[in-house]
Amino acid sequence: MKLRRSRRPIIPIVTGIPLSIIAIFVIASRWIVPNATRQDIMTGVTSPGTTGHLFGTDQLGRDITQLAIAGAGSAVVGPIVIALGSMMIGILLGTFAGYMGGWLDLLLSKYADLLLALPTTLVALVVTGLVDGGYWVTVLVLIMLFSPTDIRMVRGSVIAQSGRPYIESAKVLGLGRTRIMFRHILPNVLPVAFSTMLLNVAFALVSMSALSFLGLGVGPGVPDWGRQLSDSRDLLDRNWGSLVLPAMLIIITAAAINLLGDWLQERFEERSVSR
Amino acid sequence: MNRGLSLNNLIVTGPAGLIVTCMDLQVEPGQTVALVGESGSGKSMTAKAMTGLLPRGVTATGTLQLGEVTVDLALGPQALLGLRGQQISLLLQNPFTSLSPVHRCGEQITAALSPELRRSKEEIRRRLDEVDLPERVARQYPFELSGGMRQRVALAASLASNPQILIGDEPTTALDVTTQREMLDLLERIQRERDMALLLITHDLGVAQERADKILVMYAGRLVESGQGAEVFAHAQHPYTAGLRDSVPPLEHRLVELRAIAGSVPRPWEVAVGCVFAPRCDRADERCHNEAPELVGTASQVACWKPITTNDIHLPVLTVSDVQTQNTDNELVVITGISKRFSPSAPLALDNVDISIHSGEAVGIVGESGSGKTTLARCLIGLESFDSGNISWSINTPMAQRAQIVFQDPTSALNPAMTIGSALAEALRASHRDKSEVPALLQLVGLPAEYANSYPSGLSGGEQQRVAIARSIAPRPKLLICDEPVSSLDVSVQAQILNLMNSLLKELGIALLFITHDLAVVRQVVSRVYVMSNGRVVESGTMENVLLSPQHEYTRQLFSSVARK
Repeated sequence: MKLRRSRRPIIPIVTGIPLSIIAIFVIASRWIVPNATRQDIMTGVTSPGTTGHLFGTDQLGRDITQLAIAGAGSAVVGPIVIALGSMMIGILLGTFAGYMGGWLDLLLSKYADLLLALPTTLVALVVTGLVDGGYWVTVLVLIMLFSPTDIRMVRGSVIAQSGRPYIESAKVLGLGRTRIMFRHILPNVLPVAFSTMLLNVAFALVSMSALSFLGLGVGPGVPDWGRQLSDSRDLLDRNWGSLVLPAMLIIITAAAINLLGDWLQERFEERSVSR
Repeated sequence: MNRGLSLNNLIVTGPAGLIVTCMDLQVEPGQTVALVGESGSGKSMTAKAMTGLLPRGVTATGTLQLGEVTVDLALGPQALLGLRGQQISLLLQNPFTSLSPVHRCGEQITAALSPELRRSKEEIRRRLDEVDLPERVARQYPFELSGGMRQRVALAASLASNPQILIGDEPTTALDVTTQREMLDLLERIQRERDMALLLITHDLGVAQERADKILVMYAGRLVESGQGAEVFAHAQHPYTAGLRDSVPPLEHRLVELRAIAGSVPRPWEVAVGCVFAPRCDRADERCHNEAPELVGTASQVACWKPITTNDIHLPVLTVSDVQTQNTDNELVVITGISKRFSPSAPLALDNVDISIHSGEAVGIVGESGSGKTTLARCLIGLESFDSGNISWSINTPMAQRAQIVFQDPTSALNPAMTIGSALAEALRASHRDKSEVPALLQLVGLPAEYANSYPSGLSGGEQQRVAIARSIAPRPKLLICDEPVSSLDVSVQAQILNLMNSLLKELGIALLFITHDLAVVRQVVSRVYVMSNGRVVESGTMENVLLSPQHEYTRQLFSSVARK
């Protein structure tokens, strides 16, 4: 018997508000805060609550709030690209590995195992250090490092689907492998892939911020939450706002995306059970 | 003093609405009461309410009276704590999931006993002996036992506290027919010895008719009829009870057409006003649609405005002879000496099997689980490889146009992410036919053309199976393989699908390989049958000959367990 728990969509509302505000920052920051990076040495460091500067300013006299709004772009776009890119690799390789099996599966699984064995942050540090940094290099490295978990996830779901009678029926109808993989199996894997992707955005956001904090990622002068955190070390005694605001933004964004991803995953699981 | 159990005015409410409405039932010590109904009738929810095991979000009201104790069910599961597992015990359907896989059977049987008794070897031996199990079982884990033995362990465990009433929720449904019979005999013997009340919840009318002193028929959350034993079905007053009885395929003869009840079982909360059965009832008038009938009567009760009386004319049942002409020269496919082993250490799944199917012929394969009947079908269609032997087809078309298969569970046989229309269009295209045939295909299986736009989740089980059948006949195969196509469906829907199959065979002239454990079902469809056991064909012949004079010991055993049930 089908029993659906009546549930108000609290999670999408609670997470949707901060996420849409941040989305607005990402898209429109150049209009909202056109002068975010303007320096004003005369002002120097001020503490939170100074007139016109809610979270104070940094050594260069840049307003922390404006800087954080401008930094939303580099903080969020990279992680989204990372999650998308690694999931695309995951779907392509995971579907082939899961459906074809045999040596291809073995090869791809070992490749995934190998990548999984590497410490993510450390490898990112070494590689970006070697090729002399850069935001998009970091993104690329993180795509590679994120892909094995996605390959494994997709592979597992594909294997779970392949044994089901509807796939066997498709085989008996004489449909080709590619058609079965991408027309039959994939649509049933995508919901889970999507929610996993959201969780990866949150994880990548934290990773990217950590790398920016360590001086990798965005170049100097570019507004970015991780970079702001790293800069705040020197002025903590004079302006605590420079630490609190970017840190809060990272935490809120990551938590909201995580919650939303979890909620979506739960819904999808519920749906596949009730089917 | 009344030692029996009585349930008064039970109402079970789920998140979507009412699941069980105004349910009353009494069970006396030593008495067997059967609660009969199709899926969604609320029979299992009644058992769950009586044992405080309702799922989250589902609540019950009403009272449960056991001897001197009265429990208000509205107080929740806590109210039943002293009774459940003590005076009221529950035996569940699936012995594969109802036992803990990490505990030895001995521990599970004695879990409800006092600590002193739990350690007593003598007590465990006595308990095992009661359910006809050897002493060694106490030290074994459930996975080391067969399904029938597991269910005995589960029974011993539910009897541990010496309950006054045992509720069996489909206790034999997951077992093979031969084991089923032994289990029912055992239940009956134990009940007699202990003078225990037994509430048997089942969808199997045969079991209810043979075993129960009293039968209650439920439909869409309501009690529609009750009465003494087999009388309920023999002299059915409610049109649903009569319809249910007529939907059951008989083993004795083959019918021209089974009498099916149109439509499918509604969800209880979807029925707002009027009689729950009115939308499917051919006797219903305006009153039936607007006013819900009460349960009336003394010895036998019925909730119907227009009950069937003895004056009503019974339509004669048309039977046909099983023997059909066979053109032996026109073999479609011949399987010779097929053998298959899944792993080197496993026994042979198929052991030198020979089978032939003629063009346009309906052939059955009958056997219990593990007999190799499904493996044979999968080898034939190419889903499984085989070790030795030969399959030779007399036609030279692509495999998809030679044979297609219909699976047991229609829900998992359809892609949940694809509309019915696109699934059928794809099947048509795969064999170079045009998708404009989709409406015709739907019509052929008795579905409206609008269904092309729906997803499988919006269809009932019977409708889903119709779609699966439509998809498998789309490439115009010469052979349709059906692997237990009706065993996951309700009885009334099963009859519809069997009728559909018979009419399709006639219309399309294709051959059918019907695989089933159910002899009465296969009787209604095929003309020739193979009986399989442990990977071998033990007997074959025309349906009539095999039924009337079974030669092999296994066949006789199979038949007698069905016939006497």
